[in-house]
Amino acid sequence: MPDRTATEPRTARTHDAQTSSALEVAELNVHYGRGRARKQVLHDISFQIGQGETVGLIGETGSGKSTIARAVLGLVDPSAGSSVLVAGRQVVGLSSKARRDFRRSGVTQYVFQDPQRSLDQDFTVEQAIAEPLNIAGTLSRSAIADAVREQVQDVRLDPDLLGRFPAELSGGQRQRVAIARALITKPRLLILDEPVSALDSANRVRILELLGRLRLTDVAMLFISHDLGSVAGISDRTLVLYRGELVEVNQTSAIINAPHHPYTRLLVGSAPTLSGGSIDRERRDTLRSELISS
Amino acid sequence: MSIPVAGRESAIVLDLKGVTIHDDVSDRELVKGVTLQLKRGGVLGIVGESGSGKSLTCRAILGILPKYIEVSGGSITLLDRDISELTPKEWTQLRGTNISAVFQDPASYLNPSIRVGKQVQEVLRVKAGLSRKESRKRTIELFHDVRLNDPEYVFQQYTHELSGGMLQRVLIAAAIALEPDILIADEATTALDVTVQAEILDLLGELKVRAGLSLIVVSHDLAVVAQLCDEVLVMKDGAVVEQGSTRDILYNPQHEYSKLLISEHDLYGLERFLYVPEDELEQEQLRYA
Amino acid sequence: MVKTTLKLRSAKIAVAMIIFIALITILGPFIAPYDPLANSADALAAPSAAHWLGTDYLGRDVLSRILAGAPLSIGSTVLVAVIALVFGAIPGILSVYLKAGFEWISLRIVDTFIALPFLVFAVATTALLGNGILQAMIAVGLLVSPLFYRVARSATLSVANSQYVEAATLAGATTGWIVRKHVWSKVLPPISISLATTLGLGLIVISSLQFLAIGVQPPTPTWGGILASDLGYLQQQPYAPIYPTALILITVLAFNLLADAIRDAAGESGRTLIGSKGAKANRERRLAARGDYGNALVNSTEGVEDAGFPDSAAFAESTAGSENTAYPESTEKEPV
Repeated sequence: MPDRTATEPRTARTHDAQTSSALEVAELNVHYGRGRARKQVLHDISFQIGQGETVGLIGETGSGKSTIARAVLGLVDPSAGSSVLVAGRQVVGLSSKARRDFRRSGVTQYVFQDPQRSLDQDFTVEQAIAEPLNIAGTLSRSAIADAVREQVQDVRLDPDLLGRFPAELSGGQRQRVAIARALITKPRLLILDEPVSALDSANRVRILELLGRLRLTDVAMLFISHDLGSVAGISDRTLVLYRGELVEVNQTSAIINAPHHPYTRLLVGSAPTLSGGSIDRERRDTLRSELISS
Repeated sequence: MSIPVAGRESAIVLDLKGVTIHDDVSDRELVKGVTLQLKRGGVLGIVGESGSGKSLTCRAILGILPKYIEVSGGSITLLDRDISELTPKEWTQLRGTNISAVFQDPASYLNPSIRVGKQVQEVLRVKAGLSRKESRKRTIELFHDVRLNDPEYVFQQYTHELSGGMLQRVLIAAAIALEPDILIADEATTALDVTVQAEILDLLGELKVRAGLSLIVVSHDLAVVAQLCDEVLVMKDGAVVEQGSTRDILYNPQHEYSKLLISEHDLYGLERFLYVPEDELEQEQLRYA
Repeated sequence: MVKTTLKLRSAKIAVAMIIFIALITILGPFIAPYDPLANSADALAAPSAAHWLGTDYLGRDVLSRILAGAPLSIGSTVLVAVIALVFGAIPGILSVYLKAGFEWISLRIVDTFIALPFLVFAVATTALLGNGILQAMIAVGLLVSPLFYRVARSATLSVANSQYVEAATLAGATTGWIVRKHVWSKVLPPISISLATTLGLGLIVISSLQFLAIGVQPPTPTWGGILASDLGYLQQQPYAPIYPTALILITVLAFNLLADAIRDAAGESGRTLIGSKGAKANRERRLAARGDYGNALVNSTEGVEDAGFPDSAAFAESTAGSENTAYPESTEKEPV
């Protein structure tokens, strides 16, 4: 049994997970559009994330990686037969009331790419972080204030900043606020969509450090990125998504050192590293033509 | 000065001496003394965050600084000419034919309601005075040069019908259409997928060799710059904090900030796992190929 | 927003004028020296100590009539704006959040209102519902409401698609919560701009109606009505129409100035606007500071379009032998 104090939900939870999986996605199919324009964007996606595990999800623009996140969050309706279990609870096909209640329980949280846009400019740091608890409405005003203070320290944000507005913060501080807003409900599953790509190097390192510390707790993280390089150092396992299909799932080190699928090999070979590209141009060209023909 | 420097001068296509750039709105110095030289056929990298002054430096070189922002000190010598003496007309003459640039968001540099081929063709017709037929033929050749798969097809497309990587190729084709001496790539691969980024970087490296271009590659990512450049400038808060050969900066960084850039890759990047020597990795890949 | 707005000089002038008009409106009927309806034998008298603005064709005191007419003129304008605000802004915000049916129907109604001409509709309404000021105002208010509808709807749309609203939705927020906490503060600035514009526009429409004696019956004093009666006696008193016209103009000008000021002060454009004022001065100072070097420099760069930096030939001579050490960065940073 993991340390319960760390996951003790602040807000009432309707369902206590029996399983050890934070997320279990099975046969997830998503179609966009109707009639003739109907297009399948996700094909039979199945994977699971264990409690406390950190998993990277890599894919290029249009590969469907954001759609997976949106399906898990209930922002997109998956096609019939799909199953998404968050902490043991089926979230496909919930009524809007049930979905709202489930969201208020704060089991799943989401961190956007760009904190500049994901924070309301008219909210102070304190208001922003407290919003999920205020929406849930189960805690007293003072309990919420205490929770915010605690959370702010958790993400190493200066408590003096609580009264400031996002415009008065640096990019890194803003992303800390966004992460604190997500963590305040003590989620079981945290989905992060390119959480560092809008930041500069110094802040990127600091946010990655913060996420590295979160890895030690038992919140499960799904780290979405188009860049293998930004996920590599932080995830236990990596899922590679190509044109709506999971083409490779493995330990991150295995993905990088022994990629199987041509796309993964091209991806690894294309990622800029300090020692130059890990494979040369001719090999990249060969892989590209291999991908096109497949 | 009477010492003849013609031989040396012709080898150096761009020479910045202590360039400072001033913002009159905030009354602040945004770039504090950049000195750099670009040799013919050389590749120079500039690394820094947004706001480090790297893009402003490029804009100063291109003579396209925003309103109220001006070069306040130092000198910029472009192909043996001091750019402060250039008239707007001379600038128009110079841009494209001698120096050109590609930027981060390719779609915003193309007109969405005109076929992309036509837009590149127009550069050739207006600036090189080619006929309709010649310019079309040359555009197709250029599209072929930038490795667009089906040049004839791409010629007929509108911007929304092409991917970001393809648009960036179209813009590179337009930028090299008049065979400039210098090409500035300002975060040209930032918005692209990693595999496409590698393609564009490959293309730039190839063009450098084939067309004798001198390149300035600007990026926030040291690894991107390291792939292409012989020499790197590291900028932070408007100042150059480190400058030298790529090798020196990668293996023996002096400034805290350069060290941070490298440690980021070592700690969180692919480098953390890439312990296998390159030839072994190749073996591995051959096995799965 | 209020603070930034009031930093602008045009806003200060506008607010001063609005306070003046408001005082006239509130106190007007009480400080009027004569009964505005009382006739006297002294018709069409020139301005004098007894009658500051003279008397009209029935010998009524013009100053008293203008003061007494203020509540009806300005009051109706405010009411028109409020009606337009309520019937425009609220459906505008709701159109984004309610079912698609409401959106479609409300958009078509708004399209219809836009197609109708003001005065004709107001005349038709008073003909239908009786010639009363309230009927006329409701008609005008409804016709102005599309402005608010459009503004509120577009502002709401941009907020509704924002990530912080999505974040709130993911935390289980209801539509009511989102509108109250996120949408309202973003929609307020554009709506206040529209409100200020509408107050100006409304007065013109109301005055036109009063001019045509729609909604009010003579002898009730209104600014538009006074203007209408004055026009009949231009030969005797060519200056008389100036009084009501001036007041109408001041009011409209004040509200338009205020609308402009709010627009300039709101958001990013406000900051640049205020910033660019200092930019020219900063540049002059910077170039003057460089004057320590060679006085000719300042003169030569002035007026030259691309005067980014000094003539570098002269510069190179004065700093021969050094590459970039000669520049006195310290003088640039020193506050002058």
